[in-house]
Amino acid sequence: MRSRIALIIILIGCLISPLSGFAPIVNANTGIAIVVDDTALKPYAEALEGIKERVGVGADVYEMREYSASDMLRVLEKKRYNAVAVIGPESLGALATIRNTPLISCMVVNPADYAGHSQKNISGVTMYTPPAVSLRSLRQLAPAIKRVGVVYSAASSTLVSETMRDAESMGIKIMAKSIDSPGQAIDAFKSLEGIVDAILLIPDTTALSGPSLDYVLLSSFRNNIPVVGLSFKYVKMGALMAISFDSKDMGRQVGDMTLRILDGESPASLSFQPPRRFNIYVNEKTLESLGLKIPSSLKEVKGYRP
Amino acid sequence: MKFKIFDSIYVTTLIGITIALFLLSAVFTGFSLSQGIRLQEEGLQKRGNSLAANAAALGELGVFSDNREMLQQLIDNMMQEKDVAEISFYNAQTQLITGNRRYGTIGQSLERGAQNDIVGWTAVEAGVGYASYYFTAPVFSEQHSSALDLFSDAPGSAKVVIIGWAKVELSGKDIAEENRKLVIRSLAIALFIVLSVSALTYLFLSRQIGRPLRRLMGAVKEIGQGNFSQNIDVNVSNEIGVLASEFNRMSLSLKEREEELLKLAKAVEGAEDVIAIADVDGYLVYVNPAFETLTGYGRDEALNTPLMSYALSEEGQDEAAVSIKTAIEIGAARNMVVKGRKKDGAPTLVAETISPIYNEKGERVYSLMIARDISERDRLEKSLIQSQKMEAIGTLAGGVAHDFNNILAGIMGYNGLLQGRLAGEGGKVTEYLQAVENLTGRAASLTQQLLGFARRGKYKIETLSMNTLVEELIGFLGETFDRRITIHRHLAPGLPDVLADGNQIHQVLLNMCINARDAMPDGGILTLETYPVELDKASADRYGYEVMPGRYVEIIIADTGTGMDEATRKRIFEPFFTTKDPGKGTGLGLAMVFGIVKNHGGFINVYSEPGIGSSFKIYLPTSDREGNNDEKQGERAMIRGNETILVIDDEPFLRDVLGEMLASAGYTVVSAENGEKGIALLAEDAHKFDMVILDLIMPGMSGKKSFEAIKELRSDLKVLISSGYGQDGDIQEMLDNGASGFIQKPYLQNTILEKIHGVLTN
Repeated sequence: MRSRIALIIILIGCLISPLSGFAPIVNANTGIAIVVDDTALKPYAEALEGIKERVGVGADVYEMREYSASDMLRVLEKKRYNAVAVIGPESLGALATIRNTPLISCMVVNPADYAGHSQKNISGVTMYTPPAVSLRSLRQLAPAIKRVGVVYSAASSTLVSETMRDAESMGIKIMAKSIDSPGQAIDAFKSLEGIVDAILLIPDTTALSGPSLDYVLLSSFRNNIPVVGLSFKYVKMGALMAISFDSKDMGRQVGDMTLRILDGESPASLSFQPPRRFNIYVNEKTLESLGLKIPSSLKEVKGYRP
Repeated sequence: MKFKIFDSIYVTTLIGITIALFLLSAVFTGFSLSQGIRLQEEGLQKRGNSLAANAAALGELGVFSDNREMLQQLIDNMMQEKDVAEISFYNAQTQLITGNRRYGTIGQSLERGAQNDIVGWTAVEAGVGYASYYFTAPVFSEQHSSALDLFSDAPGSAKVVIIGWAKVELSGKDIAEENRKLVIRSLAIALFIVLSVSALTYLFLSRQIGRPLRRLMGAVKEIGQGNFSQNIDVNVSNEIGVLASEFNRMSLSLKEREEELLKLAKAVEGAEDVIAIADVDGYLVYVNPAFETLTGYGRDEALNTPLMSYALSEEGQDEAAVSIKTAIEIGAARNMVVKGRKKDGAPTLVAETISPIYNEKGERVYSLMIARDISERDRLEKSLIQSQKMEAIGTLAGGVAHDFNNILAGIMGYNGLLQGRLAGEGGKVTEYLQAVENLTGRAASLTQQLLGFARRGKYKIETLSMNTLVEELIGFLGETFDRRITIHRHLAPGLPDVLADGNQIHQVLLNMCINARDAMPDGGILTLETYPVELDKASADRYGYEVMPGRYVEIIIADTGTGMDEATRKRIFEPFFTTKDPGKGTGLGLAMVFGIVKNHGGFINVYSEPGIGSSFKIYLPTSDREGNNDEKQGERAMIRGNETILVIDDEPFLRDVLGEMLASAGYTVVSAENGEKGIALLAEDAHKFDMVILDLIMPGMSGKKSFEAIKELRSDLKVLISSGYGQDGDIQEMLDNGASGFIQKPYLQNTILEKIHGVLTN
């Protein structure tokens, strides 16, 4: 009995051992390495899956949480990979110093922020939904919307400008409030009450830090102002809708870009691309309270009823 | 011992229980109070922490956005709770954002060292007399470090940080009020419990212990004072109840013993005999009241003095001395009769018993002397012997006198008949016959005196005044006695009469006076006194064996003559005893006096001392006492008759003389020599006779039996009783049963004829 238990333990140990230690998870000499922040996080795991769908299972996969930045760099230097796919801001932060190997990133809000001046080897997929997509979807769901409020800090000024431009083309006026610190966010949101028909949330940590999101959602509920969130999480919290990228597809997109670079395209030419595929989540209860219905034109809507 | 209330078992128990209850209540109340206060404080603490946590949660937005207005709204809401003294919010650097406080000012920075301590509380003065308590809670908020966090719905993607502090201060007023109420309530309950339990305990103890004990104490006190009739009804079934019932039994037993002892004590104290108790050393420890009567020494004088000195108070009785000494010293029981002397020197004759008293171990602890004064008994015994002697002499004298009287009756009868035959002849024969009659008269007088002593003589009872009698006697004596004899008298005025034969009493007094005169040949003083006296039983007993108590007349005949010695005095009443020269006295004078006085129900007391004189005290019963009336003597007359008379007498010469005397007076006489023959004659023809003269003393059928037979044959036949003895019990009985009369032998012709005439005509 005791020998049988020992055998089971040894077998389990043999199964686990390839996942642990400094050895790459897969090594098929494809010349591609995948460095991921943490495979335990679902979006990262999905992105990893997507990449591997395209580049094959032979790519070496490293988890950044198991290495220090220097160790990771030394390992990658030693292996002389042709390209490195990077999942997550931590991994990108650690590997951004690499200049001679193409780095194709995902799951980083704005990978351009990591690329140094005139650094050409970094490309990838951004996380945020293009404002036009969000606004279009919103317009489809709530055609009466004219003024949409946005609170932002200086870090998001580019995105806000883009948003304002896209909105304008759709006949929607963006009422933007700029803040300098998270503490100003609530007051900023408060100042939009009664002025705007909807709130569009943008991925700005200053604007959505702390209880600001709670406040926005509460205020939305009180004043019947629909909120457009950033992910399904916001829909669950009471936002009318959220348009979010598809993590796996984002991985496939990165895989495709990696293969193109290995085929000879320069990373700079690929640059930073928005996600190709989005999921639209709608909180049906909020929808009902606003007296709205999901139009037939809006395909692939994922309804959520709390 | 004086009893104090605080010595009472149940009072001290009650006090003890009350103190114990107080202490217990104090401990319990203190514990309850501390628990209550602790619970209140815990409640307060929980509430404070909860309020602080709530304020922190609700104030997150305000603190986060540093929005005083938003926070103020929250504060105003929370301040509506009246026990909330302060609500304030501080930023992460513990600097005040905003706040509200009922009293005083709000601190600009949070006065807490350890900001993580979210459950701490401290009492501070609120300035209004109550402690207040403040609680702090951190205001948490999520902080997104990267924009990725905004997309992620994974837990832990955002970091929780402290963005400020909420402070809640609670007023201690309510808790102080509550505590005060709690204290008052607890104390009230404790006091109520203590008082209730004490009261119940008091009632219980009082009923179960106090009351029964008080009753017991009262009963014990009563018993201590000698009141043994104590029955306690305590009506409890505990030990005291058992004690009480045992006590009741004890008190009953004590009562019985007390009664027994009391009975014994009364018997001892009231005994006529002396009861004296001496210790083993022979010293008196107890004497009863009779002791003083016998010895003359009081109880106080006698106690702690030797018993011996009383047991043998006159020396010279060696045998008794040895016996008493043995009894006292060795403890042997002894009986003896000893001569003693009272304290005043008076002689006594005492019968004593000295015996030991033993305790339950058999040790001799006391000597008991029981003594009786037998002087009086001795005297009475002697008096009885004297009386019996006199009685015997009287009987003898009476017998002699009877025979003499019969003879004299014969002589008188024949002499009378002779005188009748020779009447008118004169000369010497008549003179001689007269001399015979005189001499027989003297002889009859002599036998009469003898019969007087023997109390057989005929007498006639009448009411007499002794003063008159004495006066007459003194008149007579004054003429006849020597002039050298002075007669003194003292006659009590209003002296009661006596029932007596005047002649006999006269004779008595005369005899006494003659004796007194003879005792004073050279003259002296003769005193005659009369007094009324009343004798009770005790004084009657002192005078002699046969003396009856009652009223008497005392006649004192005292002289200043030669007196008598003891030996003479004892014999003076014996017949034929005389101190006079031969021929001068018959020795019958005082014997007759004795007999007559005795026959009258009286007695004589004699006191005499040689050379000083004698005093005779004669006591006669007064007339208001029971006495006998005798027949009255008829007038003297010459009697004649013609009836037939049966004479029954055993003396032939008497039958002859009487037959002659009656025949000469005209009666027809039939004689019978004894009772049987007389009855036979009557049986032949009872109506032949008009009368029977019946002798009392006869051989064969006696006079009394014959009388009864006569009455059987003919109840109306007149019977005259005749006897040489005096009138006695038998004669009186026959008179009572229908006898017509009695005549004393000897008698003169005229006397018998008068008697017969009286009987026949009455």
